[in-house]
Amino acid sequence: MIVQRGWLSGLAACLLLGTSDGLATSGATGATVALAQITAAESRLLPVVLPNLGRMHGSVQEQISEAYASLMAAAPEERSTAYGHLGTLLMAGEYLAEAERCFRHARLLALDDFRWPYYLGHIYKNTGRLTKAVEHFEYVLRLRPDHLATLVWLGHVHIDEGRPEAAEPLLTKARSLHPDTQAVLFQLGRAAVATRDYARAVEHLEGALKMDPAATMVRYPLAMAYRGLGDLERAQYYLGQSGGRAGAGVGVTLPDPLMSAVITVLRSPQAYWDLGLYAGAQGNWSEAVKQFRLSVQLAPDDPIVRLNLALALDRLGDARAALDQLEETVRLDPRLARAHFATGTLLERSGRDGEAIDRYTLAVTHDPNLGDAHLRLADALRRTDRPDASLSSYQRVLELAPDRAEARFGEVMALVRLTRHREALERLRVAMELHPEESAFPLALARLLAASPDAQIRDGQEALALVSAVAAEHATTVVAETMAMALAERGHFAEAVEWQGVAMSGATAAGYSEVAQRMAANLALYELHKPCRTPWRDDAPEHRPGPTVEPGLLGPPAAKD
Amino acid sequence: MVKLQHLGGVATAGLLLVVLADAALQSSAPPADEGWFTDRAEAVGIDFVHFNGMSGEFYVSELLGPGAAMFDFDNDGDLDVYLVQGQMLGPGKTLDHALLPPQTRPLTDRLYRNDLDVHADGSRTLRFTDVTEASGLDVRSYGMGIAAADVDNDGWVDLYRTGLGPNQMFRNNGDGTFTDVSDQTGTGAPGWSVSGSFVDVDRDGWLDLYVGNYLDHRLDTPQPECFTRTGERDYCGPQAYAPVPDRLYRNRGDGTFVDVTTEAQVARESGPALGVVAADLDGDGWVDIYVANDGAPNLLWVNQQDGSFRNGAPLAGVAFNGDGRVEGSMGVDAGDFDADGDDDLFMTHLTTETNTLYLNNGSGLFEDRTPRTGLVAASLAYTGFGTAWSDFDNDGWLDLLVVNGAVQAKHQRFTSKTSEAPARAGEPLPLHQTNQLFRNLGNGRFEDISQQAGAVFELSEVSRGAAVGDVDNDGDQDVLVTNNNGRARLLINNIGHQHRWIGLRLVGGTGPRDMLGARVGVFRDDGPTLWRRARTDGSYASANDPRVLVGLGPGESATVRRIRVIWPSGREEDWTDLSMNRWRTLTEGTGQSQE
Repeated sequence: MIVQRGWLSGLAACLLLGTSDGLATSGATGATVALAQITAAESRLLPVVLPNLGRMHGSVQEQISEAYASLMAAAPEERSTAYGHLGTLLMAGEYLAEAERCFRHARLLALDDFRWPYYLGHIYKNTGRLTKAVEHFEYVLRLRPDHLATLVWLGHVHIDEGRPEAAEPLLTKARSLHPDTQAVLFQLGRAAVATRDYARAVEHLEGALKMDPAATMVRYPLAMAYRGLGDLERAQYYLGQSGGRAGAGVGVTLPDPLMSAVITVLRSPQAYWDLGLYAGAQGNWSEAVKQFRLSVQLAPDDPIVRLNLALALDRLGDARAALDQLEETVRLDPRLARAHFATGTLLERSGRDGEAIDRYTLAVTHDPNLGDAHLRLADALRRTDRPDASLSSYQRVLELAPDRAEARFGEVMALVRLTRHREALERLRVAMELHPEESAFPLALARLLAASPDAQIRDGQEALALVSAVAAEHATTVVAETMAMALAERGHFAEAVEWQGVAMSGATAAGYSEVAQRMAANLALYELHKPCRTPWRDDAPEHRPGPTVEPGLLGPPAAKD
Repeated sequence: MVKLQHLGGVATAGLLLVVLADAALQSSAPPADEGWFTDRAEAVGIDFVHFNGMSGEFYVSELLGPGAAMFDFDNDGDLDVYLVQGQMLGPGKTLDHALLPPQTRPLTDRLYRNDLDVHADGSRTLRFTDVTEASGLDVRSYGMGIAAADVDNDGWVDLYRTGLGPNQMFRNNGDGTFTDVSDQTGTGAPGWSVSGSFVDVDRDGWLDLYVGNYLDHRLDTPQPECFTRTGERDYCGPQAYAPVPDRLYRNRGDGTFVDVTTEAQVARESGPALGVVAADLDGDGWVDIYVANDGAPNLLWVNQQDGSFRNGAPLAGVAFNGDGRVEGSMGVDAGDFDADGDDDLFMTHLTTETNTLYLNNGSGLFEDRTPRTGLVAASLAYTGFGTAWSDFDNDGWLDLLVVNGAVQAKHQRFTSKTSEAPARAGEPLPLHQTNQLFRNLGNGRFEDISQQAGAVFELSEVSRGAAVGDVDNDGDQDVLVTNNNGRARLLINNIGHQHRWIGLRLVGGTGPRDMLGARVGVFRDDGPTLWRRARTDGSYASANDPRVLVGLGPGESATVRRIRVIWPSGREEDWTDLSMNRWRTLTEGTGQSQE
């Protein structure tokens, strides 16, 4: 998972407080104001004040200083743009009071330039100065009546004001001009939800989702709209689709070049980092890699930045480059547990279990609370025939997160491998109570009860009841094989033969003919009217947890950054 | 404060005001035109300044405290105050490293006993005495929050303190002292906890404990470093750390608790929990638990009535805001703000996010109605923490208090002006913001009246906890506000007592103890039924007055037909003929049964 350091600042506009500059509402659309009048008006505005640059990154200091110098040196006809450029830098850095002044100056000097009231509108919007936001966005529309982003944002503001009815005509116009813009339908959906017109909300939001099904952000309000219609089934469906973290996923797209310019203007490690995170959240891994590389260029000794670059490279499919970055990361910070963990996962996927175990061990040494690393370590140890060593790691996972069903299952299988069946059985009973929805637990318990060599714990009747309940909902080879075990334990060998045959056919049909062949051993037992006493073969998949190995995943070393 | 309504006409009241002016000198008499609230902390003896232990390392833990409690520890009928303290943070750090040295010593939590004196003429002298030393509460670990309730049903309110490290349970011995029973009770889990809620989840008459855990943050490991987009160092957000699952402890009734987190299935999902409130949100008679998670989906643990819970937040519409976004949720409260009989939810959030009001439809399904309430604009620039739905002016409608303070310097800039830039540059903790008060207009909307709320609302501080209660027993809700690395404020209400009110302490059991979770319906002839709840939880890391104070509005004609109490056991009882403008105690089993 990409490492996030800060609260994800919405990559939207900044905010600001300010007083009306008089000319803002002069209705001077298209008018040219004499230079003397501009100078007089400008002198009434507060001067532009730079924030303290001393603690900023050198590249940002440079940017802002250059922009300020350009402003000071600008010819009269260039000053508006110069103010505006400085304003975008300050806005990007979230120095909103300072940015506001720049934009107000810029606007005063070029009343026909829609950019400056647009930025001011965003600043006021985000500060909660919604009335001023409306005023400025409306001014933009007087200059550019069809400006899509302004129509959408003004609609957004009206909805936030509690006036969705004011939003609708704007959004409807936007839709007529740009019928393929997802954000327009999304805002129309928002407006409809606000007025509790859920049928229309569904119509708009379903439309938005059709345009880009990857925009998970649409699914939550859509779920709420269906809920409003009383369709709880669909509501649950879309809630499930939103992946449980709606809003943190893929957003709704709105073409907004002006705001994009603000978001991308700063040259700092954190700014590129933010862009990389954003791109990653959208699933655009090549863009994420690009931004993280820029971040690394400006902060080559920052291990976290390199770690994120590595993770993005892996997601992009360049595991070798990812590994190179991870190695550099741990060189920079040998105690960075997540880097060791990420390295371990790469090595594990490439089949290098021994090295993966070393890395996981380093990860949990440096961060004893890194549950994922403990789990991976436990699975790797168990997979490489060290079930005894795996137990403490599974137990640590459960201490950290009692609800990790996979850790509970792993612990059980480790105990089985160590032939500590009684303990495994006790753990399974607990697991079944805690995770009633997980069929793996009753199935495993059924196997133990049916086939454990320990006669004290065998109970064919309970085994049969358990597997029968699972079989009612799941038809798999594992279920069929377990059913056969239980039936054999109960003395119903003919039925056991039948079920084992079903299991073998299933394995064959799924392309696992070698598994089917190994199942023949139990078939032979049942045909001889003998029960099975091996709940799981040593090579059973339950004893081989872990990712699919990708041979050649890590090619030859790549050139260093 | 003089109760004018006892005296009849305005003329008489005016005379009385003059006559009593001298007599009231000892009281905390406010000067004229002071707004809804006046800070009287120092004047009444609460001289507490929080120390956050910061040394320039940007530890996220130094940002989040503290909370506070209003509770009656000595059973003398008035609310005492408990304030949580911090310590120096970081391995090898001493007070010499502190960027802002502590202003009060020793660095311990503080217990202030309320020595309220009500005189024969109705005037009152509010005075607090620091009884920390005598109480045996020598707490010197880094504290976050406090929860208060009678856990052993002996009639004395106990305390549960959360912090950066093992939490602590203190049993009230009934003689002015407390004993640390953390080990004995089994509730001293390590880790970083912030808010706790005492709630009887299984209706067995014993208060259980839900503890909200925040992040896996240890000072002995390398800390993440976070920067603004311009490259300035700033505090990291919760995404830089792993969350830690919350815990639910069931009270065994024998002085011990058992951790039932797994069996209750409240670890199935988790997030960085900051605010917790318990209320029957789906109207089935069983208390549910709502958890405000910071930067993660909120949780609504719906009581399954069998010892387990199910997270119903997504379908209920309270996991995210109306747009489906997770928000940085800090404080939370539940209350019936629209007087339709069910508890709605309100949460405070980060700058650039609105605070969010979720309207309950009566069956536990909620809608984000924030825009329709008029609360969007006022909250965008602020980072809210402690909050409370409380009828501060006693007009019968629940108003909203939000205490604010940023968590990142860049957010503080959203509420500042350029002229402050030079001063901000050198500030070690540039996170201060002003607090806000919103008056419920009774039509589903709120009005921002912060500017009329009093000079204390002009103070720009790093506010965190807020506990609400009638500390001078004059019939209106006062507020105890804590500030990170700042002075505690005791906001005395100047106006609520001008309207009629009724005050109820709901008790039961063997103690008897406050029956947290009991619901009270005040049936009136001249307005909708007012439903309130006995509780101490909600807000942020703080414990509120468990008593129920119900404002009845202006005018002499306000009448109460009857009062219905729905006890946590499910029993319903009515009382009639209750006089107004006084506090009284209702005991379970002594009313007119409705079964």
